[in-house]
Amino acid sequence: MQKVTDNIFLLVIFAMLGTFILAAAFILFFVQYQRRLTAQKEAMQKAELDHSEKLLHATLLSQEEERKRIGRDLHDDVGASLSNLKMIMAQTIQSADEKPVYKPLIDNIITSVRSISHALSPPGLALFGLENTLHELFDTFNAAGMLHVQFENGLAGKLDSFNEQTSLALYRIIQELLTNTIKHAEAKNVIIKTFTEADINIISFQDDGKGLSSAEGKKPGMGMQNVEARLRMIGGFSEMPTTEKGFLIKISVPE
Amino acid sequence: MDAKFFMQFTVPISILLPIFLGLVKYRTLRQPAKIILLYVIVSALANGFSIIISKYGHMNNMPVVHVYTVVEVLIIMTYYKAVLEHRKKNSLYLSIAIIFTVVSIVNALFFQSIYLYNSYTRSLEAIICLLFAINYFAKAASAPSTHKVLKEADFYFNAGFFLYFSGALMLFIFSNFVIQNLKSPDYLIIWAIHAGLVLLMYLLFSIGFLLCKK
Repeated sequence: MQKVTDNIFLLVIFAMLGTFILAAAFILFFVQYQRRLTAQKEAMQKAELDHSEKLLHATLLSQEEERKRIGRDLHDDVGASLSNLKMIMAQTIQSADEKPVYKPLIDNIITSVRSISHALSPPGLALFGLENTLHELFDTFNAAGMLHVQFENGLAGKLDSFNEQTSLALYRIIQELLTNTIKHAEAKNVIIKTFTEADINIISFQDDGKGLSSAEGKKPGMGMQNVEARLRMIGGFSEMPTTEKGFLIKISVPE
Repeated sequence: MDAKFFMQFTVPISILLPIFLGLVKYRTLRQPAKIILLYVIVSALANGFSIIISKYGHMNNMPVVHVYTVVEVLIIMTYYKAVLEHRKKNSLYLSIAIIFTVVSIVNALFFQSIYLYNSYTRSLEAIICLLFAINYFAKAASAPSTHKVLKEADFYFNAGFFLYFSGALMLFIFSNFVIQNLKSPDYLIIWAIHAGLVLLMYLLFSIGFLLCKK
């Protein structure tokens, strides 16, 4: 039998290096696998997010369409029918001594139907532009007496140049913010300003209410989620700088 | 730089880097990282003591290695218990700790004297640590979250143990052959490679400490 002349020095070196290389390769493969897995998971999450965003946009769009249709039907069909009814009743009931009790009743219904249809879909937006429609909205809130809304428009003329989708989104956002203020803020006054800052159109909304608690600031409610969804839909974004009193939101609107 | 200087000066001094970083970032360390800090401090003390008694006391330092092996296993197992969060498997960790301690004592009393290198228990230690390290990788691979593993301190602590023990396992197995059959410089080269693995482990621990965040 031939004598074994293996060098133990080399054998130990090979064994050490061999196991070390195996371990290093294992770690490298593990890192690569983790990276690929992470990338896949991130891509899936992004796809899910995009999908839900698209769904939300579609929901908001169809909601607006539906509101428009119901508003139009209420205004054109129900409103017109009520006006006809008023005329017919005026012709039928001619008795002079009889007080026309039905008249204020029908007038009230017509007014209610009109205001509901306007609230569902602001008709002035297409006809008179965002600026006038906003003034009309603020007048309604001021007339109700629950809130004093002050509007300082530094974007005169520019507000009306936004396309229909942007105008409607901004109108809904401000409507939502005002409703939120009444519901949660315990505020008396709201100041809405529009201006340009570094070539970006800004709408700032500030109330003098109790402001957001830190928990509310981190987790927005349905109303604020709607505001954010509408903003994303038109390519805008918002920030909520800290303010001494009340709630402040700055909305950046694309051209 | 010769192999002796590398082994007796560079590598022992390099342990100060993870200790320094661990102490600087102590407030940000979670429990597993604190155990690693304890591990490097104990290693530094054991190394220092071992060097002092062999170099200045001219005594055999193998008894230190025997005791250190048991302490090292216990600390590393505490680390893996914390990082793998096997609350239901407390008995497993306890059993391994007790069995390993008993095996080490039996080995020192009947098989490998405390004045000889404890290659059996060192090899067994390396195998136990490698199994726990693989367990960590398995757990990390099946984690549902999309965390980035390269930004996790525990990945570097675990990689340090995994690379060190995988490289050192063969040396532990053949250590008594190496001590008996090889003369300098071959003998020194092999232990210098071991010192290189230790250095790599300390560097990975240092990266781990740097990545610790509150």
